Amino acid sequence: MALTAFFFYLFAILAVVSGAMVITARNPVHAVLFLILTFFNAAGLFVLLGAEFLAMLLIIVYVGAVAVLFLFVVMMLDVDFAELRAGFIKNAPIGLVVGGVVLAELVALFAVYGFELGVGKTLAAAAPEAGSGITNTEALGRIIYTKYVYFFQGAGLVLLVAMIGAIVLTLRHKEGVRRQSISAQVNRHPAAAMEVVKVAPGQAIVPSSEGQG
Amino acid sequence: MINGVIEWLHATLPLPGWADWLWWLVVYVAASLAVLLGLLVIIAFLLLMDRKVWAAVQMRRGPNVVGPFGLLQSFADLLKFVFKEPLIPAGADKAVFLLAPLASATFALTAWAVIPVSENSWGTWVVSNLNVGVLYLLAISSLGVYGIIMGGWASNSKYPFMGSLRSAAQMVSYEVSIGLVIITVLLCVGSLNLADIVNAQKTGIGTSAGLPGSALDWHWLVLFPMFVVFFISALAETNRPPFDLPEAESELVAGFMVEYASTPYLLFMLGEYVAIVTMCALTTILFLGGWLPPIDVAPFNWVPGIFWFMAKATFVFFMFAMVKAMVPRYRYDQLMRLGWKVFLPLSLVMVVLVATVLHFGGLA
Amino acid sequence: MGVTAPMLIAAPREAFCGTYAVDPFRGFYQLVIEAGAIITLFALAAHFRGTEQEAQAPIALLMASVGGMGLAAATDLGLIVLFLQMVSFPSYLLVLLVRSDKPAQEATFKYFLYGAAALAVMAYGLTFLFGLTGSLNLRIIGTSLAGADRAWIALAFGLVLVGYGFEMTLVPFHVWAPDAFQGATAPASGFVSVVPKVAAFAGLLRLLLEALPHNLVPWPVMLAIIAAVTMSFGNLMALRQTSLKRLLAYSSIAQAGYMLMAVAAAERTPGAMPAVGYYLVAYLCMNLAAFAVLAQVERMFGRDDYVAIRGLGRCAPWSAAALALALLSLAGIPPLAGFAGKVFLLMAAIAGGFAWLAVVAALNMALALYYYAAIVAEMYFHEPERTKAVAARAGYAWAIGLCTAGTIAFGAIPTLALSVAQLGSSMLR
Repeated sequence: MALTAFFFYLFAILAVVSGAMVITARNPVHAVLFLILTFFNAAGLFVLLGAEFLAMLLIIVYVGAVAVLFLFVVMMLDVDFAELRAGFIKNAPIGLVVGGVVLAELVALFAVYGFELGVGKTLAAAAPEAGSGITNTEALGRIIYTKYVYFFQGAGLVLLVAMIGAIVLTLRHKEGVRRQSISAQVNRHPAAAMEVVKVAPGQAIVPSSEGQG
Repeated sequence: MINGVIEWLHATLPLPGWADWLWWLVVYVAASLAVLLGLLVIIAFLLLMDRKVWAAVQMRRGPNVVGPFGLLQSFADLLKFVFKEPLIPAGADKAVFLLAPLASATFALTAWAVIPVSENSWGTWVVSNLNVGVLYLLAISSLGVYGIIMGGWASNSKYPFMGSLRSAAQMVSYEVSIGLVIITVLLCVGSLNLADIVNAQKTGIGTSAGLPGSALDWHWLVLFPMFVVFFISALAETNRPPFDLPEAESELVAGFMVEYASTPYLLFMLGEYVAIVTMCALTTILFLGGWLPPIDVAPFNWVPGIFWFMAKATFVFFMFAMVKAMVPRYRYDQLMRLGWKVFLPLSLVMVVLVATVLHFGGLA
Repeated sequence: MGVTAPMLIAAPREAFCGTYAVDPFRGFYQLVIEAGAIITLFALAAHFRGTEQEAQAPIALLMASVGGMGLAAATDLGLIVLFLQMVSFPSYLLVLLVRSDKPAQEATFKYFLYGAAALAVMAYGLTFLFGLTGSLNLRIIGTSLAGADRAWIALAFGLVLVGYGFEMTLVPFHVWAPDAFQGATAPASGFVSVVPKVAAFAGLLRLLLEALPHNLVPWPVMLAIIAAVTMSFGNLMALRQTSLKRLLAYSSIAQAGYMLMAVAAAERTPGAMPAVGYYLVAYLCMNLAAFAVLAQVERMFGRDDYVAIRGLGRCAPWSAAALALALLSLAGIPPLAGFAGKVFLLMAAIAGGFAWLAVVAALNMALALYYYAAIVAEMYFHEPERTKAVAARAGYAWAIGLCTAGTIAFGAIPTLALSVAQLGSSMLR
């Protein structure tokens, strides 16, 4: 269909262009914003493939959460552009070599071996048949919670470990910080908090005890 | 509904093969425009209602000069904003500065593509009946934060940046509990499609007791704790008082909007109100039975569904307005505490509880 | 352990749709990892008692052990990646437990960067295996690799070896080890030197034997060369260390080289698998005992160089004796476990046709005797600098006692552990 083709090329071209802008943008914040645009277009491509669940997850997880934190960090860092550029030029040969090797490998794999050895079959088997009435949310659920349940749990554990690690490494209990304790506030009794004093004329009020803040 | 219209157009006015997508395009554009215009007009009056409610609680009259009872106030405001001079601070990042309000308003409006407002024999009244509608809404509402962060950063000024940092942390935090609340609803329904969610509320406690379909069947009763959590989280997610810390005027002047004036400011405000109305609509769909009549008997079920939908959404908005008028602003640490230490555990427990009941109660 | 032990004799089968093997092989390695974890737990608990890290250390330990146990049983590329990450994350954490410590921070950072890079490279290698066969399952890969191009398989194997080499501290992927071991607290170093290594050996053996038939890639020769380089480099570097933890780090690099020798012969001779298994058990006992004693010393003197242990035989005879036994066993003095283990490894290497490698290993063992003996001499033939008792806590005593008992018992009666290791060498294929 003409429209599908139109949107495919729209998303694909935008994705490639904004991907290129990510590395060429002078300002790191702009780079992150272009990165987000790239994610968007990738999500659009997923929708065109009929994988709308993945598309939504891509937006929720990457654009909605990961990229926000990324943007935070980049905004708060005081990045020296000139220095960054110098480092870039210094490291460019290494990057080019690594990138070139990876590219050559991928090209060789696709061109020479063409992934004929069964990858196509494996990938095709994962997709639900068109018209079977199963939405791809359901199809994903069926495969993740049956065949790959162990992966799912394992990945969950790895993430849990990473989370605990991050908390352990950053959590510091500062001394002398006054924290709000809601239950203590609610349970405070009027008798303990205030005192009715009869003031004699011409006399000062002397608090009976200190520290009843 | 849209597919029906397209088919009808094809049947009555056939097009040559190379242009068969033309009707498709025309109908979608027309539907989008209809939703957009209707939404904007409704928001103009809801804005007025917001101010009127606020005024009434404080025993003032509120806007009452433009038009009868001040009904045209919002349109006057619109003209005023548009005709003012747009100001861009000298140190601002111009492109991002202007992009931010645009993104804010666009993302907010995009959400309405999937919100079904009624259903009849032609089908569901919605631009795109997506089968991951709820996820789409969740995704779009999480995008709202970008307008704010970009605006705060591009202003190149202290208060806006503080405001945008607060806002981002707040929205990310409350999205978690909103997501879990939505999961409990999804567990009860078994579909991510918004129209399915509404239709699942046709039967429930009331009908199982032998009554005709009524408000007792809707999710607000079965999932009452989640309804409360969702309502409060929706307030936080849309930066409404008492969670309006990003623009807390007593601390941050106007938060991320300090440097904005004229049309860009208008777009920000528009985005904010559209997001609020979206949340009202979502509350209606998830918990208040969408377009279903409160009692499924004679005079009530003659009324078109869209009327009930709007009435319910307006009621939720009224609640939003009352909260704004009555509740003092939270402190930032209290806000975070509420989100992470109260709502998150509560909604997690509810997810487990609901799943358990559904599984062992044989209801799933 | 009680749950795992019966699995040694259970018939091999698979679980979770072929992604997880339930066979004696994984039973044995899981048992070893559990033992290592429990012994370390004693030392860690004693070391961190009453500090902020008291709760965090056991959690990290538990998670790393679970990861290692999973790796021993995983027969699926995806699971292998997951579990390797799961071994590594908590290990980084363990190294950084005392985070106010500058060396520990630097060590963790190095460890983390190397780990992240190595595991990424490994994952990249695994994608080649997937691309060549279209399957994530090790056995299916093993049967369908035959038609693929040798060069690609060799490349994939090389990349995969980076990840395992990192966990096993093989040269040239060992760079993180000395810094990490020195920077971390001694019980944590002990754990990091043992459990990831056991897990990685289990994972590598499974990968090699199930997925890579030797006629496709000359991996026995490749591994033999790496083994020779690793043991020589480890021993030569260990000679000139003054920090004991650093010395033990290089020593453990050398030990990894010895074990890799038998892995290289794993497909050629049936004796190789039990030899690796036996040596891992012995290595666990010796290394954990040595690190537990170092923990005591470090806690008392705040340092871990030769001066700290000078005359330890006087002021702490029991600890000194345990350390001496562990070191002599590492050096390969009969009748300790290290000796029997080295004999088995050499026999496996010779039976596998790597006589030259056995000669290199024997030379290395002789060389290593020097620095192990130097420490022992330092403890017994010098007057102590200070006469302070070492930290005596029940946890240390348990850890040291269990390890030393293992070193002696398995050395005196090698069949005790060897028969179990033999049981554990049958793998689901």
